[in-house]
Amino acid sequence: MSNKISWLFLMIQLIAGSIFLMRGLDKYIRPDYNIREFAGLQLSPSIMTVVAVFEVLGGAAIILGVGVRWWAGLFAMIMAGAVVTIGINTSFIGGYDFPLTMFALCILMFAAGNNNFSFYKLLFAKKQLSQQG
Amino acid sequence: MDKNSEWALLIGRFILGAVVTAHGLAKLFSFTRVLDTFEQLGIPPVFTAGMIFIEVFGGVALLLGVGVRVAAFFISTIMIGATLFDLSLGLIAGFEFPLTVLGLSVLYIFIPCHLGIYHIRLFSNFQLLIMKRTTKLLNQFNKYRMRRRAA
Repeated sequence: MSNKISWLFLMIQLIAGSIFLMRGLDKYIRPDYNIREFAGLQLSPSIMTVVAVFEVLGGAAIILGVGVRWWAGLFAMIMAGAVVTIGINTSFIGGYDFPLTMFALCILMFAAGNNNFSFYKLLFAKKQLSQQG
Repeated sequence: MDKNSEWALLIGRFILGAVVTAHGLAKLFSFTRVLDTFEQLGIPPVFTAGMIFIEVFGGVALLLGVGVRVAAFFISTIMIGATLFDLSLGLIAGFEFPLTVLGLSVLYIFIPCHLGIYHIRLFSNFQLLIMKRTTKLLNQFNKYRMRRRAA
């Protein structure tokens, strides 16, 4: 994993992590709207709660760079489920295109693994970072 | 990138290409309506037409694997514009979608993919040889002319 690719995946991690974190927090801040969204897809609010917990924890972990590979794999499965459930009910554009791109980001992060640059590495693993760079 | 990551890059490229092409084609099929809507938002029709052109051809190029880096560069320029345009709407249901597409396309500018890529050779070996000879001759001629001018 070269230096350039590592910086690129830091960018991807920041984008994906911030979106997951904001989406997860949004499910706590305005639950009515999100319950209505989930009810439109024939999903119960209990699924929404579980997804919100995962999104907040996993988004923060991906931004920090802790266990990116496994969180990304989990989110890839969640996003695949989102693509299927939204794809049954609505169309591609304005429907399941956003979960699909998030699925692509998750697959790429899963393949890139844990060894990219991250805030966690910057704070706690200085020696390793300098050896790599 | 190792061998397993190449497959992830291929999947990501197909998804990016499919999403961008679909959005471009959707704009193309309702062309006049889209022109009107975007003009009301303050985007001139020339920019809209260029945007649709880049979305359709860039997306198809990404899907086919022809000129991936150039296509990704042009798509990323559009997506920077789209992200800045949607910035006032906030992250959720606002600029999150252009931002993810921007991230993916910037990734494909800088990471070389090797799987499912067609390399197009614009010139054959013979043509390259001819071009080399011609430039050599032209350089000699220029040198000669400069010497004449100096004298």
